[in-house]
Amino acid sequence: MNRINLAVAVPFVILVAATLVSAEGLAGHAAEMAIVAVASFKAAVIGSEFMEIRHAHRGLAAGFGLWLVAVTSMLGWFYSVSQP
Amino acid sequence: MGDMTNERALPRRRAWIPGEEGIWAVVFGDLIVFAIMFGSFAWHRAASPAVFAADRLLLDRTIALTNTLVLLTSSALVAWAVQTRRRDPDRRKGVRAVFAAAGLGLVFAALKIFEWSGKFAQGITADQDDFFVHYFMLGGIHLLHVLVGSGFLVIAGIGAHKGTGSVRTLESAGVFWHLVDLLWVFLFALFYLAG
Repeated sequence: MNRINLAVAVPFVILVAATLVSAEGLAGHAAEMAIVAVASFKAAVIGSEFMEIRHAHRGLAAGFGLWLVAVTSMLGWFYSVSQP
Repeated sequence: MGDMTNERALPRRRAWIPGEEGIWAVVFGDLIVFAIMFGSFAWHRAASPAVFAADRLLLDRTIALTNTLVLLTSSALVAWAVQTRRRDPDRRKGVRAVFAAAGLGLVFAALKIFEWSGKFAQGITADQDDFFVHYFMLGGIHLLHVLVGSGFLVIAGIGAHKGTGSVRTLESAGVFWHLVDLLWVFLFALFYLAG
């Protein structure tokens, strides 16, 4: 399998694995934070590899990274302060 | 084998934008709007944790998990199709993958509509509480993106098949489709998993 196919296959396998792991849906603050973290990780993989942002203009990468950090921080804060 | 840059036929690293520049205005606009809606969901959840926890149990996680895998697969097909189109003179391989991805988008839509019909059959309405207001609102806007994205892929695929469409058009359709997938990743986590 050449490198171009691996560039799609590897992120896909990672995304599916992360989906199946997080789909356990465990309860509790720690599990909720982990689920948000996994979602953000998957979004980062989709943006970086499928949308090819990591090869793109620095401004694009910075904007996407900023959005991801903001959303992750916001959700992480809400889930950390709310009752389970 | 050549390095990734040559195989992708890209300009110098860090000066390139995938697809048309305008599609990124749409992408970032959508990202901002959905971020606000994610925040609204999380805020209302913090205000009514028991209601949200109880309502989450009424959702069908199996359908949602299936839809997640459907969208991830379709995204992978689109990513592969774009890279294939860039480097392979045989356009058909990439075109078939684009149409397959669009088809998976319609599968997602069908499953989502099936899921909602089940909710309505249970007597659940879109305005019964904050959880389901967000569930149907965010789900409905996302479903609209899925349908638009599927149409975009079909148009790009037809252009590629006829030889009239550019690689950048296909890249743009791909960027929008990956946005649809990315947004669902958060929707799946927030509505079906966390809490």
